[in-house]
Amino acid sequence: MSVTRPVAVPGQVPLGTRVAKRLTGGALYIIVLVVGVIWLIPTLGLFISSFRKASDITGSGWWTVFTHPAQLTFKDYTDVFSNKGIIQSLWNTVLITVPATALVVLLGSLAAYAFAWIDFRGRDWLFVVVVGLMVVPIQVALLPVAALYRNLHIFGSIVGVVLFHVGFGLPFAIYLLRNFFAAIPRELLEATRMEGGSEWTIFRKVIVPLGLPAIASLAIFQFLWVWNDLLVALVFSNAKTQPLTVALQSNMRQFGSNIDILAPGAFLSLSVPLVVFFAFQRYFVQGLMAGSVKG
Amino acid sequence: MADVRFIDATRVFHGAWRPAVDGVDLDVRDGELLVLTGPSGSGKSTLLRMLAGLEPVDSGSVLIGGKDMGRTAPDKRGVSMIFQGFALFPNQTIRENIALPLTMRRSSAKSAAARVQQVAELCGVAEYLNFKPDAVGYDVRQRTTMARAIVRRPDVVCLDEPLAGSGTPLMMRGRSPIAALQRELGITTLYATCSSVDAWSIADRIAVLDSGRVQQLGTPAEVFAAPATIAVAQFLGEPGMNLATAVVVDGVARLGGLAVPLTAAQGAALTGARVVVGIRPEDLTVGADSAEGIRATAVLVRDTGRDYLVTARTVVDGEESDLVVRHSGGPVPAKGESVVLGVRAGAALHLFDAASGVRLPD
Repeated sequence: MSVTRPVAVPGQVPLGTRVAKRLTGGALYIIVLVVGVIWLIPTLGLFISSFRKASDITGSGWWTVFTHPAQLTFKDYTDVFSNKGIIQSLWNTVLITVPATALVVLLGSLAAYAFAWIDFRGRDWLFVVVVGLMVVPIQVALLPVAALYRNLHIFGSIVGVVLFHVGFGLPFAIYLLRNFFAAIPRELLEATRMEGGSEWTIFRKVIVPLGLPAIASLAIFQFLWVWNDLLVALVFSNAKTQPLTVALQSNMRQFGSNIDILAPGAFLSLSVPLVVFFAFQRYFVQGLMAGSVKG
Repeated sequence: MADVRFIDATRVFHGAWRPAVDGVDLDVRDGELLVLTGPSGSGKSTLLRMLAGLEPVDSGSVLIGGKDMGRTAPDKRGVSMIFQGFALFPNQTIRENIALPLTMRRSSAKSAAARVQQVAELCGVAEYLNFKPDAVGYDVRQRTTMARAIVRRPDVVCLDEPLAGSGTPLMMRGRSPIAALQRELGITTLYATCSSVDAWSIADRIAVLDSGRVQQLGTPAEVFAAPATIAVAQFLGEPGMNLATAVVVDGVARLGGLAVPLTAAQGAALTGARVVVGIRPEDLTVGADSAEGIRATAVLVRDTGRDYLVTARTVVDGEESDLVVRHSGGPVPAKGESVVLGVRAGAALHLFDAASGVRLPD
């Protein structure tokens, strides 16, 4: 396939530049706002539906609440909170997400420190292998890992789900953190070593405090991925260990669904990532730039 | 307090084509301020890091206070280090930064606090203790690193290019407190710097390094007056010494119209050989008698504020070379003008062996 590149005609401003110029300022914000609103409409519909009775949801559109606000009720939420299956699965989500995040952050930062600052034989080759693992899609590993788990007797357990997430989270974690850690000035590490600091002390006193923006953003990313994961949990968990995403999915059927559970359940699932995002927005931006900006 | 000895100390980096530090023998006296200088890559930083224990000594040995440091851990050597760029922790206050050597050694909080206060006052940073390094000026950061270096009462302090990357005005301000403090405390100090001006403004002695070897060790005046090799001659001085190749005929080295008389012994040994004649820019004059001078063309005239640096291009035996003249009195030649260069009366001329680069014996 040939790629046509925009050719700059002398005396004529390239199209991209002209478009960019037009878009800056007010017009850009309006477009972003409109796209954002369109994007949010289904979510808004789900949110409103979670406050309507099942019969109302199947009988009329969610927008009718604007003319008939009497439809609004908390019954769906009280039902969901008294639904043992949903509550158990929410608890399972926590049991999966917290260790999967903590382990990736802990192991990833230790490994990243070693890759960045400890000279050992074959370090660069090993790092290439680790980075190379990032291109392996999760799907190709599902079957072999399932067979492995069956032999280890952890198929269907929370441990299995956690380990899978840790395994697939680590390459990116190591890549992100290594680049950030490598940009920490060598002199700071050596100043600590001069005072008798061991590798462990340097890691704790220099790397962790100065690498905190990257570590925090990694933790947030990993938390969100695992919290929102459906595929891995669908394969490796069972009815007892399934997280919220799988529990909600099982309430969807080909012809209709238990919308009165689905809508509030989805919102329950959504609320935690939203809180995490808004609480740690700052780290998100810093983390996205991690590695690209030295300093 | 302690003296420092390097005995045939060598360090070869993995995959390097020559040792970074190549068989260095060096004695540093107790309480002395020794400046290690030389072009970048000459091995001065590596030498300091070997002393501090941050680099292994591949062969030879390093002694502090007469004791072989061998595999002694960096924190057990009584050496502290001031790094290029200062290495202050941006997430800690000046107080925490200064206290680092004490907290790392788990000193009692009370004695540490008192010691930090004492050192901070000595270095003039007592009023900034609660600030973070980013919130204070360059000067304060520099003083903070000094405070951190002396807070644990080291025997030896190493400074590794502490002023690199700073502008000249800051350098001039920065250099003196280091010297003053060193004199006051009498700590044996090794100071590595690329700047030759730094070297003789504060040093007791200077060691000029090149290609991992010590080229010359002596007081700044000694080294300036009689550079041991061409490398030293080029490096010391602002600008460095002019060097031109001349052929010795009848006991005289001829450089254009300029005749450099040699001693009888030199003349006998060198007749027909090529020597390198070194003349400091301060010792050259513009506008000499044309019969006894070097004909040249002014190619560049720089105004330093106090005087002029005239770069003159001359052809000796078909070989082009540029000579720099520090010109302070009289009319300033214009660019492109033909000039005749002479040597100031009583000026020292330096002769080096053209092949080995070593200074010829007088």
